[in-house]
Amino acid sequence: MNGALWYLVAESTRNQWRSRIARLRSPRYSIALLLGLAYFWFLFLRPQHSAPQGPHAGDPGAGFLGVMGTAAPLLIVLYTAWTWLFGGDRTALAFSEAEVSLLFPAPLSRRALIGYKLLKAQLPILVTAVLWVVLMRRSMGSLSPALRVVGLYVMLTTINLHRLAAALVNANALEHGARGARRTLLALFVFAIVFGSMAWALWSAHGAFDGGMDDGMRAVLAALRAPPASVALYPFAAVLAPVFAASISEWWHAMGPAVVLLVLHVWWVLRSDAAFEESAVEASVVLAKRLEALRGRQGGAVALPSSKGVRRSLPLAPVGAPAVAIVWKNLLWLMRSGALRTMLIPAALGVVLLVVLHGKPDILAVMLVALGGATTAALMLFGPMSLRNDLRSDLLHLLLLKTLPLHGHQVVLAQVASGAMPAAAAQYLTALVAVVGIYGTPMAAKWSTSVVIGGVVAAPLLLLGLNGTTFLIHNAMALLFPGWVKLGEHGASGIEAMGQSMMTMMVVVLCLALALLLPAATGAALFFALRGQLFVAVAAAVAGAGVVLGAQCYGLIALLGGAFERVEPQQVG
Amino acid sequence: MIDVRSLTKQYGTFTAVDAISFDVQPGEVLGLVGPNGAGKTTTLRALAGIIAPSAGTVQIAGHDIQKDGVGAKRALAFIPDEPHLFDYLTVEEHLRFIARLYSVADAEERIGPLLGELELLDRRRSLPTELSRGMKQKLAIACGLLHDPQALVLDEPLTGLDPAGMRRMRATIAARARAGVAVILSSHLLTLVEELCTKLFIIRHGRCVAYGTIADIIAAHPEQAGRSLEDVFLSLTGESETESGADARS
Repeated sequence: MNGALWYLVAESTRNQWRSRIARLRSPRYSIALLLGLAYFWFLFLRPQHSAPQGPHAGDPGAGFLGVMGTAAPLLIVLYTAWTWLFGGDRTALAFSEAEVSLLFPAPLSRRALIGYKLLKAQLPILVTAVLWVVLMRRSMGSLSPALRVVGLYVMLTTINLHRLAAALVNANALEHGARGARRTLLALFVFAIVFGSMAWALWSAHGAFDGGMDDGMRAVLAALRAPPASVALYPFAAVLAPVFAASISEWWHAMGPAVVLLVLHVWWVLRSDAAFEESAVEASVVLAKRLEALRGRQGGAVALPSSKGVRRSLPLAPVGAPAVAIVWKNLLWLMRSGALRTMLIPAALGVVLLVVLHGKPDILAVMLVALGGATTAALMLFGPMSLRNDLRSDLLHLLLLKTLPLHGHQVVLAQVASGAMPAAAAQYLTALVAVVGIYGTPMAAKWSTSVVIGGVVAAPLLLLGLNGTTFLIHNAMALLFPGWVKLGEHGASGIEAMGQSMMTMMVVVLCLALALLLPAATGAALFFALRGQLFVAVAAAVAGAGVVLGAQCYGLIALLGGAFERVEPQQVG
Repeated sequence: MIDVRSLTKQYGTFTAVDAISFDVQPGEVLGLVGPNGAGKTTTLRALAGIIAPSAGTVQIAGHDIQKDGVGAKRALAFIPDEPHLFDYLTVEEHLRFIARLYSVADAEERIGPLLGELELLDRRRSLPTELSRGMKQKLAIACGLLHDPQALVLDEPLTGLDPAGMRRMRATIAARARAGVAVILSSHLLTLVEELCTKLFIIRHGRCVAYGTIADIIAAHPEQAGRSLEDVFLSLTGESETESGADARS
């Protein structure tokens, strides 16, 4: 690769770390780092006084590793299938504005550009691998952490390479219509075989569920470990095998195929040079126009995205609470980015289950409970990671935001509400479908009608409080630590950003746990005090917890409003 | 209308703006000029409430920007050199958004003529990504003018505009001033400043170098009499020495 590109990666990395360290001179950042390290040590690194182990406890992680070694390839199958069949992660091919402006017109081959992109991802991937091993070290057996890091690094790099290769092929398919689409036919064929073999395994094991869930799961794992599924899943399992190896010999044995796959991917991506060049020729025309427009500071509409969907809008009265305008703007983002549609899928799925499983109340009840629970948990924890229609996007427009005639707390409240309200509504809708579906099944017979009605009536307050808290945490992180949070409509993505996402999730979980202490205590106290009338007790407990959560949120929003009024453009970057 | 007293902004030990004072009355257009890094943008951002002054006060229409920021901002429009627009709002929706924030009850009646004035009428359903740089700048200007501000602060307002757009923009600024709006205009285009501004504030290294009408400035610096505004500017900011030094070397 070109020496200038090595220089760029090395100097950028060095300066990035230098500025991160310099940022620690600010008390806010240094205190946060110390608290974060203490939390990290307490959870993952502090010495544990384990109980004496029995004869079967020689390697406490062995069982976990065995199950994960079989189940984890399925996740990779799903990820790669999504990448191939639905266009996948479009950021895989993304270059920054500076890179586009400086590197694309430079006399560099496309191969050099791809090599640069790969090189730049290596350090973040290594950091992610180390972080992952530290986080999972208590459940990952006795293999040396260093070997585990190497295994994880090989796996993550291979997945990253695969993602890039898929993006290159998909880019060609998009650019060249039917001719390009033929190039993805092979991928479709491969995934048809993989999913077919998985379906065969599940079908052959489904009878075992008559003996209970444990028997069923054991049968599924056994079927996945036997042909034809084991053959179809071999490449996916081979990439993961070093990560889940239980001993050094197993690790060495697994590394061979994993490294071969890695090398094949490197060869594949670099060989894609010609295809990338083909699509880059057309992209460079658009780029040249854009650069020309920038240089000349003048018109010429370039890189026009589709305005499909813009016709649908929401009404907004010109007079009324001004902060509502921010919520309105952010709801339009939800509509036009397709996020709103995605949020409604679980409720729609619930309705489909109601129809399809009508007459099978046992299965229906289990499925609906799983759907409702998974939707609530996923939207609560992961929703705010992707629904970024709040300060995380708008801080990039700080110049505009700060000139608006609004108090800081009004801006923060509107931004938090923009994410929390739709998320809570989607959860409530799904829960409502689940409750309606479960009502009348044997599972519901165990529940008191009073409890269900009390919960349904008071749940909106609780869901609003819970979602308000999680969105508030994310907004607070962006506002207080803009140097540590990726701002913009799309958060940090890709394999190389997994470490950052994991750290964010840890902070959110900790803050959420702390924020729930008082509301949970209030809810419990109300339930205990009113337990004579079950309906009232449940409604009061749920609503009380929601009100306390809401009050906490509002107090924090008032504080963050002050922080918003003090934040200056150079702090945001 | 705009009253600035001893405005100071420090970043650590660096003083970006050092105790400057000026005022702009209704109908006046103040040209804020100075070399790159002189403190113009910092001054404008402090006026718009984007950054907090380290010392001194800024009053907009009688409202202290620090004590009553909302009141001050309601009377003000700040148009930065780089338009900040939301990718998911159309041209028309940007104006509706602004209308709600500033409680413009007759927004629907105003939006059409304003878009017509800025030649954006046929792009009212377009997203910012579908607009050229100049059109985006026009939209940012439309957003600033929709609520009929009493004070208008413009940072390089002609950036990205074509010649016809520049002429229309000059007319728009002049018309607003005639209607009684207090205008502050920062630009490196000294011909624009000379054409539109009723007085000048020349800033260098964060300090006031000259302030007043051109006649006032010449009176304070008689050696500048008869020279062009460009020469006066270069001389007062010390830029002419740099240039003549470079000429001598070449």
